[in-house]
Amino acid sequence: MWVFVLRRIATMLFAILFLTALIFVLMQAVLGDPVVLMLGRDADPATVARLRQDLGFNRPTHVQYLDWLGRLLQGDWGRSFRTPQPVLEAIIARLPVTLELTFLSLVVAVALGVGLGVLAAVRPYTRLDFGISLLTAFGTAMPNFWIAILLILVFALHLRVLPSSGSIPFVEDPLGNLRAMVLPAITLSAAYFSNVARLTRAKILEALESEYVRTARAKGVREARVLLVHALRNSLLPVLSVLGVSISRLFGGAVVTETIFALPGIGILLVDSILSRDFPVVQGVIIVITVGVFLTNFLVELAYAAVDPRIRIG
Amino acid sequence: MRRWTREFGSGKPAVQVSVGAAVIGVALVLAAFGARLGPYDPLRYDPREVLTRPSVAHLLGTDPLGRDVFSQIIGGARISMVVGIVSVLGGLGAGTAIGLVAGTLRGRGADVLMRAMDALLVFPSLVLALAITAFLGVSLWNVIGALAVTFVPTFAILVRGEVLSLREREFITAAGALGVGRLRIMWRHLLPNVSDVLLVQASFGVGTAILTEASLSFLGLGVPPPALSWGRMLREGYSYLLLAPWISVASGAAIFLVALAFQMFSDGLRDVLVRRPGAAAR
Repeated sequence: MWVFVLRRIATMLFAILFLTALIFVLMQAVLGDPVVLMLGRDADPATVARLRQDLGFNRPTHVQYLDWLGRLLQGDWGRSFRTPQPVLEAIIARLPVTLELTFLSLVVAVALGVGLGVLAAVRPYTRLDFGISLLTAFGTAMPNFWIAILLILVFALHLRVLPSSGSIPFVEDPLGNLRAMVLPAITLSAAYFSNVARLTRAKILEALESEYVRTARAKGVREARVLLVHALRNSLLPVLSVLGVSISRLFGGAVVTETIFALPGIGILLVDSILSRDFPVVQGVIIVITVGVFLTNFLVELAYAAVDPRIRIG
Repeated sequence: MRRWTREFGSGKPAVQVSVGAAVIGVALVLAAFGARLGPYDPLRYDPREVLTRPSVAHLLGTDPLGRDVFSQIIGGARISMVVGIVSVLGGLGAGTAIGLVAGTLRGRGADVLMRAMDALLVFPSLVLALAITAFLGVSLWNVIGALAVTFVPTFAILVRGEVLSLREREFITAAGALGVGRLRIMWRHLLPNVSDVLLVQASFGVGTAILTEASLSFLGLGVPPPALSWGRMLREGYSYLLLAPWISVASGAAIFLVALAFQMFSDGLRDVLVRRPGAAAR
């Protein structure tokens, strides 16, 4: 197990280093020579050379990268071009909304996905099964911004039961906060609960054909127990592995979802800073997403290995 | 992930392929002839016809500037199809080259390259495309380039996997023993054997690219005006959702239909081309 964990940590670190290096290079390319930026194009070459020497910009790129990485680790993420706010502060202020949105979407994806999957598997090839499979087919193929617009049209503009935009801090009004999160969470989770439902249904149908289910039934175990304990438990392993991949996609979907529902998370911060060319913030948000994606991926792999010994040995 | 779609049996493979191909064919015709096929000039302002409801004169109504939505949808097919197809071709070319090389020449360099591909694959593709357009700036070619980059890892990992299993097969070792050069083995013996898998993945990729382009346009970072884009229409219509829901609903439907068509086409194709006998009877 320890060898497995160490190897996974190494993979994760490599991925994070690779992507941050990519961000660093892109930033350098976009911003151009910082010394020329400071002194202007007509500056005296000797002054330029001295300042470059003083600020360390004449060092090789990889040394500058490590230096930059060191400053990030110490919490110095630079300042926004637009506001005097430090980048890290701006991101931390926005992070809770994004985390809540992705967490709730994950909960919806698992609850609704497993629920619908089990329901479809219990009554295979019936109208119920067909309805569920139609719903999940739409769920995977519909772009999430379109789902959002249809949901807003129906639930916010016509039925007026749920708000269409904005967010209230959880500590001020927990119920209001959750109400504002219902439509965004359904939007973001649509593709995932559909995938989870399809996979759960297929795996349960497969399990119900298996020897161990036949044995359990022969022993006289009740059908509900056969389904929920014997078949479902074994079917959830592949579901867990799909969720691992999905979490990273959730971060991408969150950007669009936050923009539509005007949720003040890091996704909207990213889009706003790209549109106003506020590169320090763009860089910061992308780093946070990078670390978030690979960290969650690592945790899911760990969980998967803990549940299924074949992974850590194989 | 597509495998599960198949297991749900949304239809016989041949039906899926033909329905998908029919919709794709219509989209291609619209893309080729563009706005000329529509009833109106999609960019013509008409102050007398602002935000009119769908009617016989305007099948899908008009937008806040009095432009015909139906004509705009027809005109918007071009950007979606061009961006979708060209970006996938770009990613396919680069990814296949990386996969072939990494699969044929094994070594430390190839390992590091594939690790980098793994990392890019895990990273959310929309954020990757956003980041690239953020740094490069917004234009048709930058959007295509950004999307192409998101496809490179998929194709590289796919091709390398196929190559690793093929290279142990007899016809490849025989070619090697006969003194056939590595480049020729890649081009003449390996590439034709991965083309089926590539075709399936590429047709699926075009659908994904169309969705991502629409997301970028929706966020204001897609192909800039005056080019017509479904994603941007959806965004502009969003401000008038209560007054004129048809703008957003229609452009969203166009994106959905074309993306779904590519998905169906690819699913069906996979069943026809890639599924080997026996594998289907799991």
